[in-house]
Parts: sequence; structure tokens; C-alpha cells
Amino acid sequence: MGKYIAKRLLQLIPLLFIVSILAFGLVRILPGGAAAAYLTARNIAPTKESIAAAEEYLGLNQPLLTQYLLWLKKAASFDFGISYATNKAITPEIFGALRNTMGLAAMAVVWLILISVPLGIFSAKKPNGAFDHFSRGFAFLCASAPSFLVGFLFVLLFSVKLKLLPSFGKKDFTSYLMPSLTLALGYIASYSRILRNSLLENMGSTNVLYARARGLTEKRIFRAHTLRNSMIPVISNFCLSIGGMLAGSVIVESVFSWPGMGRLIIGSIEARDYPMIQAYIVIMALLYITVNLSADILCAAINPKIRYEA
Amino acid sequence: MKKKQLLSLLLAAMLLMLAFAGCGTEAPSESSSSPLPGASADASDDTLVMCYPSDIGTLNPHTYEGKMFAQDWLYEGLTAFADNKVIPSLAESWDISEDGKVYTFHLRKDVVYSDGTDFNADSAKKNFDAVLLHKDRHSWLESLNQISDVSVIDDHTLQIKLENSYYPFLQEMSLIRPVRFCADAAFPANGDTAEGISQPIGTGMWMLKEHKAGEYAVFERNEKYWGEKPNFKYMKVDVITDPTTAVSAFKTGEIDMIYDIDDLLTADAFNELKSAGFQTYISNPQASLALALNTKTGFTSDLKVRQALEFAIDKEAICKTVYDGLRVPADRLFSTDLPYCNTTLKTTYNYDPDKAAAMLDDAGWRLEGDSKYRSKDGKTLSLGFCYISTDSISKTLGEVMQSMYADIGVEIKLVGEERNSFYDRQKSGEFDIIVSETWGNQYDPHSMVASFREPSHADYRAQEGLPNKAYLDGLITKLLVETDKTRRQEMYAEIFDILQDNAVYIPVCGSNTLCVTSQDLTGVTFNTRSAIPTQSISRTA
Amino acid sequence: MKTRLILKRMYRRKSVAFFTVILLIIVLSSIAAPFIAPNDVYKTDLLNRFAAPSAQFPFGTDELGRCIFSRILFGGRASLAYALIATSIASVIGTTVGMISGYKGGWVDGLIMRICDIMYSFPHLVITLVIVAVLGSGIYNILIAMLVTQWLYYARMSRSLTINIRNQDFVAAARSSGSSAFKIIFKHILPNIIPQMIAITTIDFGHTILTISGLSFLGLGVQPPSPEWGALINGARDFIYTDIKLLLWPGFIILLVVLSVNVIGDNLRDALDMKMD
Repeated sequence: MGKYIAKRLLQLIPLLFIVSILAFGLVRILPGGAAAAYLTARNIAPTKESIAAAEEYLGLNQPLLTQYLLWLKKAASFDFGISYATNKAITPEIFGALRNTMGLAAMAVVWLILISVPLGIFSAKKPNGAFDHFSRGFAFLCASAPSFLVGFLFVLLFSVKLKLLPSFGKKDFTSYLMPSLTLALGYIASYSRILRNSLLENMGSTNVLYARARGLTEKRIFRAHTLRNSMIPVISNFCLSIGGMLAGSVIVESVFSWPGMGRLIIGSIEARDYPMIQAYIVIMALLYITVNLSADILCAAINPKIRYEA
Repeated sequence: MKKKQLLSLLLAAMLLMLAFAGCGTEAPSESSSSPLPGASADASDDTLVMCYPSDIGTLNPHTYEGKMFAQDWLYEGLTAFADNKVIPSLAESWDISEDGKVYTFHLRKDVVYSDGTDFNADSAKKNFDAVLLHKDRHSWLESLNQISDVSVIDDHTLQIKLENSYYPFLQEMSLIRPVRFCADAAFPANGDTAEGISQPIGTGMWMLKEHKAGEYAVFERNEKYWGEKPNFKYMKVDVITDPTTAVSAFKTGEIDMIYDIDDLLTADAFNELKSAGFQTYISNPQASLALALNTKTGFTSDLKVRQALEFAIDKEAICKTVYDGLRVPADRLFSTDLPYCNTTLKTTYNYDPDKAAAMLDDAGWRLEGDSKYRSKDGKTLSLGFCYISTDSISKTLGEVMQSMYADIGVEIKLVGEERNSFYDRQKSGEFDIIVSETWGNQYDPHSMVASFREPSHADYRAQEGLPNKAYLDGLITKLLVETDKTRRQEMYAEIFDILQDNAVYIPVCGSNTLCVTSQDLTGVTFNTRSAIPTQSISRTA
Repeated sequence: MKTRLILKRMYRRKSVAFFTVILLIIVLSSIAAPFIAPNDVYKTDLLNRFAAPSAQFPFGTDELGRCIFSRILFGGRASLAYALIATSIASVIGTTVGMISGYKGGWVDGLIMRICDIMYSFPHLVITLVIVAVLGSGIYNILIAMLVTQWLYYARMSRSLTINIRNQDFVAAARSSGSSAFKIIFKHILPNIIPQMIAITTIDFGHTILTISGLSFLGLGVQPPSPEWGALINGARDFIYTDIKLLLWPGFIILLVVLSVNVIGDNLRDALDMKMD
């Protein structure tokens, strides 16, 4: 196991290198260039002289390699410089946004468990029964509804009509409920189905048969064997979705004016805030790599076959 | 096997905990422990909650990153602007030399910055010096180009010498930026505010109390303010990016007021809220909306085409629909209410699609066979209309124009882009038709006219193809330093006629600011296009 | 014969037939939009804004008096075509690359999988947003972004399916009879993995529609006045309090299409799974 983890960590090195090249190179290929964007944000007309001055100030006139190494050195300590748009340090702002988005994703996970676990269990109890059909239909509906539509309808119902929940922003715990549920809905479908199918598989497994032969009650068998074993594929799949959730929150954040990463990046793209876009790429990649790696290690721990194949 | 699975489950749980530790639990508790009074009950009596589509930004009085309404709350100028007149502000009076080149400002003696330090001539000069250090950033502001010297006469007297007599000087000193004043404590160590200030401290009626970038900002009433203080103790500005979300938040009572200075309120939403019983306010026209046509390149370089475009647009219908009856049609770039603008124009364009079609025929653009659009030499008469894609009102305007111009056989392609691409087009002149709003009553007409000479402005690019563009620019330069008022008036009249005769702009309508508030608020007023006056707003019991 | 068996299993459920009919109706009427749309999609009628449904305007009119029904019909052409282009190109490229990678193994496989790893270190939406940041917004850039991200997914799938059958007897037999790698891949491997790939493509088609409409909703995708579904929804945002039908109609149609595609794809996958048992 240790060897496997070491190997996976080693594989990360070239990956991180390429991520850094991509993020750094971006500023070079963007239309207009970084100096012009910097000037525009400061209301300075980009003339030849002003661009030259800005390039000097931003260090864009140094050799490419020097620039890259300087940037990398800072980025390695999570110092991404100053935002063109706000003239403030990027790091605290982006980490603030990241925390908000992670909070949203965490709450979405809670919803996911609250909804898809019971759906999966009750569907598996009577496969092809009425509830199974209902939960299948419900899952399909959730997976197919555009999140912006669901978000607006939630606001209309719970905020404007019933005045139960805040309609925007991050204020207290109640502000988390609607956006996170909207975010979770798309994932409920697959998890409840995965859990159901794996429950059905495990119900017929030899372990369960032996347990039954040993005279354990059905309730106990279900809890001790079937459910526990069936959660494994759900959990490993689930790690893979977290990254998608963090990125996928962009629409939900727009609907609910949630101060997270999605809104940050949309704003930065619009303002051509290149250092911020760079920081976003690096952080999202790091986060995603970490989550994927954890998921892989987890899968390897569950299923030793993977370790030998890799 | 069983043990191993248990282990992996545990591992999974731990990983999850790790991934979300600190964020899931910490984030909500943080805002509940916020020091903001009334954070839980936003509509508490001493806090007025409003929203704005973006963060207030860095509130530096000398730069352009912050939002103007917030800069205006914190910082004041030597003069102020109210009811289309220049009035005293930090300067209680001033003397102007015979030749119009020396201004002596007598500063108020009872003014302190919100940190308790004195506002005096030294402090004022320090601010002037910081701004003048970067003249290149403020080249649009002719006053700064004209300043040759700023000197302290005594503690409360400041003298400013100009190169030429520049008549709009006092008015430009009332602008929200860049000539407003911050305390010593706001200056960074090297004194260069262009690179950032250390803290936002001004003389204005509000102080920045708390700012959470991208979420909200809270302002606290400045109890040391020299003038009439606002009724509310706190002002909270929530960031709501989406207009619909803003209306939802308003309907739920989470915010008290939508003061629409940046398109957070569509005309339809305004009327809908009005009929739902909320308080609604609408300002007089504060600027005017026009479409600038490119006279240099493309099909619009032909005067006949431009004039046809002028005749074919039904402004009444646009005001009735795009603006749901809230705006009035305009027949000239600058409203006649503005200084020097009440001139008699030689040319007028009244809605007449038949005439427009005849003019296009005349110019060689004909409808061939059963094609929908006119063509000439194998080219279709197709024009791009450029706007910022998130600006839904411009989008709607474009769609209406598309339909109107299709009637005379002109195709309009909508080019909606993100903000910066739009600005690039303004600067480079790569447009056929571009949305152009006048700058607003504090700037119109002189500041905007002055900027016609700046190549980085859409107006310069639009006018670039005029045969007499060099003459026009020279005329503007002369006008700005002309001392004789009658002569100035004549020159303005000539400029307006050149623009109108050549059909550079299609004036569409006046722009006004909308505001909706909850039923218990009174006293909403309007001042300039980008300001939110707050003194008179109060909550009735 | 095999196809018939799969279809028969797939249509055991009545719901599948129902959603197939729904999907067919929507697709066919979108294709036939120029013939069946009652009104001009661009023609504004400023005196007839937010009209209620009527014989002339089956779904009523929008903020500029345009026929919502006609716009949805024409919008379907755009939305379905874009999603179809994106998924089919991605699927063809991805499947081909995956088969080559899985069959050849060695450094080819290594290289392709490293590229996949790199691309997988960014969430898809992040890549899309970055591409939009570089190239600017607009539907073509969105399609490029979708292609760049989606092919990987197919490549991974077809690679693992290929590896599964690479060492089966019939492939080994073909190899020993001297068939070229090209021939083996397209003659022997492709026919065996194509049903699974179709099932995956079907489900992905639904995702693609949702993604494109989501990006249009954010204002990054299709530009007005083109009546693409996402753009319709984006345009309706400002009017949900004035007239919510502007939002509901296109939203409902997107929901129906994606739902139909998901149900069909899911059942196809189930039917295929059974076959393998």
C-alpha cells in the first residue's frame, strides 16, 4: 500500500509541472496581453509608452524563464500577486471564495447522504416495487432538471412566497440550504442508483447467506453486512464527484449570488484579471488532484487488484 | 477482508472530514459571530440595506477601481454639484482672478477627517500632488491638464494656477474622482496613492466599517461630519450580481432598497414592483443614450447610410417597450436642459422609414429579387451592433433595432461581448454601431466634448471619418479655454451641428435612474448619474 | 438479431417507449421548424408583449412580442445540433483514440493516458471557463471547449472496453491470421464496443445539452437573438417576475429532452449489461 501511494505521489510531479506551465503560459497567450489588461483596469490608455512602462513594472520584459521561475517561487507559497481588478492581494480573496464554495459542497454532500441513502435502501428492499419505480423516476427527474431552473423555482417558492429562507448570499446556516440542495440534486440520481444496485448484489452474497445460516436477524444482517459493503462503491465514486461539485457550483453561485469560486472566476474572466485566473487554475487543479488521488488511494485500499494493475 | 473494509470506510470518512474540515463548519459560524449590528435582522431600524451588482472595490479617492457611489460617500471635493449647479463643499467660497487663470479656494474651518485629523490647505495640497503625479491616468480630465501650480497660502486657503482660463474648472472639481481628499493616515509610506491607500479615511458622511470582498460592505455614519448627517446609523451594501436575485431579495425584505445606478432594475421589474405596492422613484433624465455610428470604416462611412439609419428608428416605440414607458425619446445628443445645449439644430431626423428606404435606394443599396436585405456590389448591408453581453437592456434594444432595421432591408448583427472586449472595440474603432451613453449631468457637455479628442474613446473613433474632424478637435480645444460666454455658446452650437448634420450619433432617449424601496422608507432623492444621496432617506415608524 | 434483442429488452419498460416518442416529437418538430413554426422568430411586435397563449401564439409571446413557441422550435434546432455536434465528434475521436490506446498498449497508451491524467486534473467546467477566457465567449468557443474536455471521457471508456476484449480468442485469431492493427481495431474491436459507446454517448448528450444551456445562462454561450434554449432562459431571467412563462417553457422543454435521453440511455445500458451476463 505504501509503495502504491509513493508511486502515485511521484506521478504527481510531472503533472504539477504541467499545471504550472499552463497557468503561467495563459497570460502569454491571452488576447491583448497582460500589460494592456493591467492598464485598462487602471483607466490608463494602452499606448506604446504606457504598455512598455507597465511591462517593466509587472516584470513582463524579463526573460520568459526568469519570469516563470519567479512566478513559480511565489505560487509555491500561494502568493499569487495583486489582482488587476481590485489592486488587492489575491490569496486571501481566493481562499475566502474557496472556503465558501467548499462549504456549499460540504452541505451538498449532507443533502446527498440524506436523500440518496434512504432512496437507495428502500428501493433495494423491494426491487421493481412501487417505491423503486418512484425513486428511479425521481432520480431521473433530478438528473435532468437544469440547475438554474430549479434554483429560481426554489427562490420563488421558499423565499418569495413562503418567506422561509434567504434568497441570496451567505448569511447564516439557512442560506446554505437552497443552494446546496440545488447543487446536490444532479448527483442524487447516480448515487441512489449505485447504492441500490450494489445493495442488491450484496444481498445475494455468500457473506449474507452465511450470516443468515448463523441465525442473525435480517435487520442485523442488513446493517452489519449488506449496507456496509454496499457503501464502498458509493464512497469511492463520491470522492470523484467532489471536484465536479466544486467546479459545477458556478451556476448555483450565480443564481444565489453566492460569494464563491464560480462567481469569482466569472467576474475575473470578465475583468480579464489574469493573475486571478492563474490563481484559480492552480488552486482548482491542486484541489482536484488531491481529491482524485485520495479517491484512488481509497479505491486501492478497498480493492487490492487496482494496486497490482497500476 | 472485513477488517480491511472497515478500515477503508474509516479512511474514507477521515478523508472527507479532512477535505471539509474547517470549511463546512467554520463558514456558517463565522458570519453569525459577525460584529455587524443587525446582521441577523437586516432590516433593523438603524441600518439601511441596499444592493449593488459588484463589490465596492478599493475605495481610493484618486483611482478608478472603486465604485463611485461609495467613493462619494467617503470623500468630498472642493465643490459639489446639486440641481445642475456648482455649490460649495470643502471650499466654502472661492475667488477667481480677472484672467480666469488663478483660483483661490477658502476652505471650511470646521472639517475633520473621520479619524479626527484636520482637513486643511496642507492636506488638500498633498492630495492634489498625489493626483497630479499621474496626469497620464487622468488625461480625460482637462482641469488636471490645465493645472500649473497648487500652493498653500495659509492654513485654510489654497491657490490653484491654470495654464489657460478653463471655464468648467469649478464643475470638474466637484467630480467624484479623482480630485477628492483623504487623510494623512490613508497615504501609503511613499505617498503615492496610485499604488494603493493604507485605509479609506475621508471627510464624507459615511465611514467604511466592514468590508467582505464579494459579499457585502457596511458603512457607519460619520458623527464628525460637518454637514447634514444621514438618518441611518449604518448602511449595508450587499453584492447581488443578478438583477432577478436582487428583485427576489427585495421582495423577501432582505434588502430595503434597489437604487439602480448599474442596471439592477429593468423597466419591467420596476413597473411590476410599483403595481405590487412598493415605493418607486424615478429621476429626471440624467444623461442620454445614443448609438454612435462609425464614420470611418464599413458601410456606415457613407453619410446616406447613416442618415437612413437615423430616419428608420422608432424612438417612441423603443421608449414604450424596452423602457416600458419610463423614458422619453431624445432628438439630440445632449438634452436641452444642459448648459449651452439649448441650441437650434439645423438638421432633425423624424421617424420616417419610407424616406430611409428611399435614401438607401439612392445610395445604391437595393433589394435584389426576394432577398430580405439590401445589397450593393454583391455585399449585403449588414451592420454589427456592439454592446456588453450582460447588459440586458442593450440586448433588448439591439433586438428591437434588428426588427426595425429589417423593415428597411438592413441587417443588424448583435455583437454582445464581455466588458473588456467591448472597451477594446471602443478604443480600436472596430464597430459599426456601438452603444454610447453621455456621461451624465455633471460631465455634460464639456467633459464629454473634451474627450472627443481622445483616440482611446469610442466617440473619437466614431467621428474619425468626418471630413472636418481635425477642425472639430481644434474647435473643442479653443472652446475649452474660451473666456467669452457668448462665443462659447456659438462654438458649442457649431459642434452640435457638425455631429447632427453628419449623423454621427443616433440619439435614442434620456437615461434616468430608478429606485424602489420598501413601504416604510421615505426621502429618496437623485443627484448625479453615479451618486446615491442618502442624507434624506429615513424609515417611518 | 443482436440489435433486436437489445431493443426488445430496452423497451420492456413502457416508460422508455413513452420517452422515445416524446424525444422524437421534439426532435422532428425542431427539424421541421421552418414549416411548422406559426410565426417569424425574430419579428418583434412591441404592442403585443407578454401575450397569453392563443391560437396564433400557442405558448404566448415574450418581452418583445415574439412567439415563444416558434422560438422554442427554432431554438431546438440550434440546441440539439450543437449538442449533437459536440457529443458525436467527441465520441468519435475519443472512441478511436481509446481503441488505439487500449489495443496498442506500450508508449502510445502511456502517452495518451498521461494526457488524460493532465486533463483530468482540472474539472471540466474549469477547462471550459479557461478556454472561454482565452478565446472569448460565443458558441463556437464553447463547442471547442466541450470537445477538448469530452473526448477524454470516451477515450477512457473505450480504452478499458478494448483492453477487456483485446485478449479474447477472436481478436487473437485475427491477429494470427495477419490482419493489420487498423483492420483489427475497426473490424473486430469496434463492433463489439459500439453498443456500450452508444449508451454512453446518449447519456452524455443529455449532459451536453445541460452544460451548453448552463453556459448560455451565464451569458458565455449563444448570443442573442438566436433562440437557442439556454439563451432563451438567459433572456427570461430578467422577466421571471413579469411573466414566468418565458422561463418555464424553455426550461420545461430542456428538462423533457434531457429526461428522455437519460431514460433511453440508462435503459440501453441496462439492456446491454444483461446481454453480457
